[in-house]
Amino acid sequence: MAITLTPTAANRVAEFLKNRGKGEGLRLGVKPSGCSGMAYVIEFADTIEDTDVTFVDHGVTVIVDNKSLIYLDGTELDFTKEGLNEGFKFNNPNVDAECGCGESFTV
Amino acid sequence: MALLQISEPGQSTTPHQRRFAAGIDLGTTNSLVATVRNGKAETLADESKKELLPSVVRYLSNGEIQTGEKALSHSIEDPKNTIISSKRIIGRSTKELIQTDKNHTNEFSHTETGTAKILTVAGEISPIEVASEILKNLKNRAEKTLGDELSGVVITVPAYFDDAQRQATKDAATLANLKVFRLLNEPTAAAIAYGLDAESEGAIVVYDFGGGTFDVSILQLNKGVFEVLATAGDTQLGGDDLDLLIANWITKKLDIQFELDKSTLRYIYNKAKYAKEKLTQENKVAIDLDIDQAFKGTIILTRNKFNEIVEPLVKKTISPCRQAIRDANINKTEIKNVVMVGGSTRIPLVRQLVTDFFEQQIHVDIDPDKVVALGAAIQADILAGNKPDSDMLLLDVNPLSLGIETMGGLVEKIISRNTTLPVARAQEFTTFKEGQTALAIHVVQGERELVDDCRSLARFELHGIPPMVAGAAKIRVTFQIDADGLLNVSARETISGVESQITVKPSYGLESDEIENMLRSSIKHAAEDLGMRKLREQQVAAKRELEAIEAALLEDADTHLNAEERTKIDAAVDQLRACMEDSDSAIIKKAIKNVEQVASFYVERRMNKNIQQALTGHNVNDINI
Amino acid sequence: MKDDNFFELFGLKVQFEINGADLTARYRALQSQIHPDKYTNAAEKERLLSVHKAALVNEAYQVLKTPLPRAKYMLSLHGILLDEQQSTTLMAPDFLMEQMELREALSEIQHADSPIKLLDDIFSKIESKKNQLISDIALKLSKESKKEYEAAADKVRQLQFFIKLQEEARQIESQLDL
Repeated sequence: MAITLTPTAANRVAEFLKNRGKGEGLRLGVKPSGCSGMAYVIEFADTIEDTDVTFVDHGVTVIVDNKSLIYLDGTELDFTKEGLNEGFKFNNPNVDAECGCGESFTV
Repeated sequence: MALLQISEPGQSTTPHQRRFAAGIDLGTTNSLVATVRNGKAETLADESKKELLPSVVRYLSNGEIQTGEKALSHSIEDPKNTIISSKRIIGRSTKELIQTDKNHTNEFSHTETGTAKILTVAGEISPIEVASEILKNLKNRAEKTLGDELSGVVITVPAYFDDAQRQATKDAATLANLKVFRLLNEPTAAAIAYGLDAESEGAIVVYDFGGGTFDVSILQLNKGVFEVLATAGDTQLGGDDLDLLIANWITKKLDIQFELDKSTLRYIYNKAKYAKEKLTQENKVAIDLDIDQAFKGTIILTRNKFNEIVEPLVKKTISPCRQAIRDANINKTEIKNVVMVGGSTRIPLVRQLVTDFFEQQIHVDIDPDKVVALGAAIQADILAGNKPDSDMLLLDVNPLSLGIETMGGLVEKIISRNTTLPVARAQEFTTFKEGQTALAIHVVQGERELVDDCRSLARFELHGIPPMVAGAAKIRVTFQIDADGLLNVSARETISGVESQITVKPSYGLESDEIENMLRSSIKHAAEDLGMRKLREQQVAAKRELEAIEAALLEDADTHLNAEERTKIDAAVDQLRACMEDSDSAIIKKAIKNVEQVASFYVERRMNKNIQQALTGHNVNDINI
Repeated sequence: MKDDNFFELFGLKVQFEINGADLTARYRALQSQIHPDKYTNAAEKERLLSVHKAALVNEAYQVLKTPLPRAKYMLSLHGILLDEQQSTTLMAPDFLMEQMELREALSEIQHADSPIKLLDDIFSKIESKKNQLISDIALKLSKESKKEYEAAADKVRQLQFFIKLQEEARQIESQLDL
């Protein structure tokens, strides 16, 4: 089981964490809701819980709770630009259908 | 598809619910928009990677409106229809402009009172409309960058802006369809940008010398609380004035005997600006000039000569510094930091004089053009609710005294300068004629004793006073200035309890039907329907109301409400939810009002609980023993 | 909570002696709960209420933190209202004489050889007089009798004279700067 980051994504996460001045790493997860079932969670993490699984990729700690991991396993987190807009994108192999907004999905 | 940003722990929102917020520095020369993404404040660039948007708008005869670089590039060939530095004329009357700003290249409508309007090929344009075009451009840029609509913005204004100028700025935002979370004083924004990084405590001086205005503020920073202790400045002194001095020097040097036309003046003015900017890095600059019939060649301006020319004006910034220190009631030695803001602080002479006066190293680490927008973005992010654990609190002050006209054209001060906002003061008035049913009140802002020397803000007429003998009626007028520095007036006859009607006639601002008219005419271009816009506004308001009350009920309904009260509130909330998708904005509006009314006692109880809670940490009993 | 008593608003007993640091801490705690910035996303009514409450807390803080308005406010709670345009006939002759002497000294400063030093002298004189008056007021206000309150009111009137004098001295100082 693994979650990976593209080098660009890892660089940006490291930069944002450094700028924030605190934090254990990056928390990824899913929660029910959204227009098609599940929504991604992407947050700074100040604590690591017992139920969390951690990965280190390109020097960045990624924290995922074990329930979310089922839906995220194999995901590669990327950082891209689309016109003026830039941000993170989940390349998730478990996904069946994505809502046009990219923030939620079904498995 | 939308790209995602990193939230603070626990702050991930459901899709499409994210609250995007931005900080906007609406500057005299340039404007900027910034936002907090992934926990970091950053200014946003346009498609050509430019962050600074020249605050220039050009009106064309075919109805097209150009903004930014595009408008600026036509400032020489089409000075009449190109408006630069519109911030200097916002909220001002034509009369004031003629007095203070003789060198404007635009033409104004010739009304004795009222807001100045600019005569263009597209008709008479209000400075508010000009500002709204800049805001629309930045809004568009931010929404393209963030991939979604902005939920609200923080717009910065000079600390010294009076009520009319603040109101005009807010009106411009309304025209641009932006929700204003807060008007924030520029120096406070700068201190936020620096303060949160530096974790410093103590007195901070913010010296802000921009394109069109100068102000200095003294702030006290303590555990995330920013308190503005004092502010002073000059709304009519800025980098533009330095350009003008240099332009005059050039004209004099060329010994031109005839009167120059507007576009030549603008040409020389642009050259002067260029020379000023060059001289921040170099010791001398060659100014190439090509003026028909007069001069073609190069003149040299050295930094020494430049300093000599501008020194008297730069020195004019020191006396407000002294005044601010005195008003703040602090000692020069208590000042921990001096923060430099505004493009004019790149001038070495300015840095020198400020360092000398405050006798300490000054802060120039953050780009002086961006620091205000960055601070505004940080504040906008907090106000949008994206950082609920933030303990930052801004306590701003009233920059100018507020008073009313009394007998003989004298001013009676009601709220003095540097009073912490928000503030409310009540004043009692009476009738002087038998059976008098109306009363006129003239509100002014300024420090002088004569009405004529202050700025007229508004004339209020109170109607519906019950007829009584002279001097019997007691009319209590409450003047309230909110956190944005905007005035609100309410009145009440206390003997009979009759709520007086107030007709507010702003001296320079816009009346609400004027805003509506402007909206109508701007919508012709935007292909947006006014009715649709109203409906959407009400839908947003309804959503906000629902979210607020539902969050409150979830938190503490059990503590404050009995079953009967709860049922009533729930019924009103259900009614509002049921009509939210209605196509009639009036119906939604009514349902919102209903919820407000039914729940008002509950809101009051919650607020009082908050006050109690605030004090519990303070061991009330200890002290009372 | 009662809106009409500033002391109670801050959770304090009505008394003249106040711990400045504690008052400021209470003020900040209150503002961090009720300031309109904390209600950006709240319903309209709630926001208006927060503006109202925050204004009240600001006013109370301004009154409580400085001795003169605090004393006047306490006297007003006891039914003694000090007239702003007070008549000098109420003042003791020797007090008025002292005031006149200080004013005279002040008016001569601009033409003096070492104005800064003279001004400093006047400032420290005013300061010590003020402190004396403030501790007198504190003492009289702590004794809960109508007679003592009246006596405190007298001292408050005197304090007003000194504060006005201090303002004038500051103005002269600012003119010397230039």
